[in-house]
Amino acid sequence: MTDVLELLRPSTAEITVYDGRVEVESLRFLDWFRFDAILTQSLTTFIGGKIADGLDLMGKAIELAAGLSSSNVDVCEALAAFVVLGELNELRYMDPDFAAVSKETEGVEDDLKNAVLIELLTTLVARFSMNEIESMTPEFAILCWQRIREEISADRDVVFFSTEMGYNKKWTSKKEGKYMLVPRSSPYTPVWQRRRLKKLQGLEREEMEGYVPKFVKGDVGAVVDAKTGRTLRDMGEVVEDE
Amino acid sequence: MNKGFDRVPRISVPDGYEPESITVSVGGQEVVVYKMSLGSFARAVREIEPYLKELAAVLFGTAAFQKVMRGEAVDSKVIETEIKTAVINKLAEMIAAVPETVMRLLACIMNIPDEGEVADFFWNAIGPGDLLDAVEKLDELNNFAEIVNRLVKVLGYLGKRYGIEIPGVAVVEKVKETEES
Repeated sequence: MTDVLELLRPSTAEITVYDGRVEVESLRFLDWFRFDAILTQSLTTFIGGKIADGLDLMGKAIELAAGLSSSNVDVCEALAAFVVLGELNELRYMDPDFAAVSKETEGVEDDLKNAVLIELLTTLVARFSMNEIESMTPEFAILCWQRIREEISADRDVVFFSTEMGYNKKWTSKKEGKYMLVPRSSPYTPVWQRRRLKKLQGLEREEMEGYVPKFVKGDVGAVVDAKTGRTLRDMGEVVEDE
Repeated sequence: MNKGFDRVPRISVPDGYEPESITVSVGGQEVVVYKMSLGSFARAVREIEPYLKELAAVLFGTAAFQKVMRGEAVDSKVIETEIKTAVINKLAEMIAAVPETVMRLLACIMNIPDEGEVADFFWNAIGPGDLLDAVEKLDELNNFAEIVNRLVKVLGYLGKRYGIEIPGVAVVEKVKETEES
């Protein structure tokens, strides 16, 4: 079993209840999944014109995300808290692959959504303890799931926690094979963003292709790369000074 | 050794905290009424939900509503007169037709349980004079307009999150804008 401690601290937000401000942390993976399902259900309920049922679901969402009981929290405070808690538990990171899966399951029966969750969980339990899965942030759980799927489908070992995932591996005990994952930046730089950047850089390279820099005689001996010792002569065409 | 994060801590009611309250005179007795909780608001909405649907039908039937839904410009005066008048008329008609529902609604707002001595007292002792006074005071305590505004915000948030437009939200927002301006 992989021994991993996720170091990314969950986000926090403040809600106003009982005439005071209280800090609330974002949910971990399993609770987040439940929360998201309740939110989807409440939206469907409201659209169906069942406002009271929608409000009941809203109460459940608040209870799950902040431990507030709908019977002893002020209605105005609860409605404001609902929006804050919803925003707090938005996925900050969304890998395009997961976005595609989400799109497939959008608006379909809960069974299908549950099927995705079951697939995700059964994939993760092969590598992590239930305690670890429970404590993962949703983004991290999704990332791990995708990484394992990638590994399985490619039938090869992939670097499981590569820096591509936005983490650096910090060994705590090499002897015992223990390491921690330190986020390189927070919030995550999503994969799609990095891919786009890479693509843009690639385009620039294409544009530059065929371009041969010209240097005037006299400069050609200048070393431009201290490591390799490359000179201007190695890099471009030397022309005579006019 | 794996260390998971602790689960989200539960927020409990602080010691000594009491929700805002007012005293309402019912049948010659002073009754303390606390501010509505989310649960009691949901119960109140459940009581009037069938009527809310009728109201929604009236709202959806107005030409001004249709225009707002299509994203067409609607003069604020038109909203004021057409939508609000239609809704208020329907509301008045419904209140007159269903006094028992109004009583039940009040009981919910006042957090009076459905059964037991308190309910008996409420049903038997409250008179028409008490009713008007109570409604005014309850609105003062709960600020129903604020609740509606926040509910609209919630619906707007949910709609945006899932990329769906919830019918009616745009109109309520427009009416609010009109009132504020």
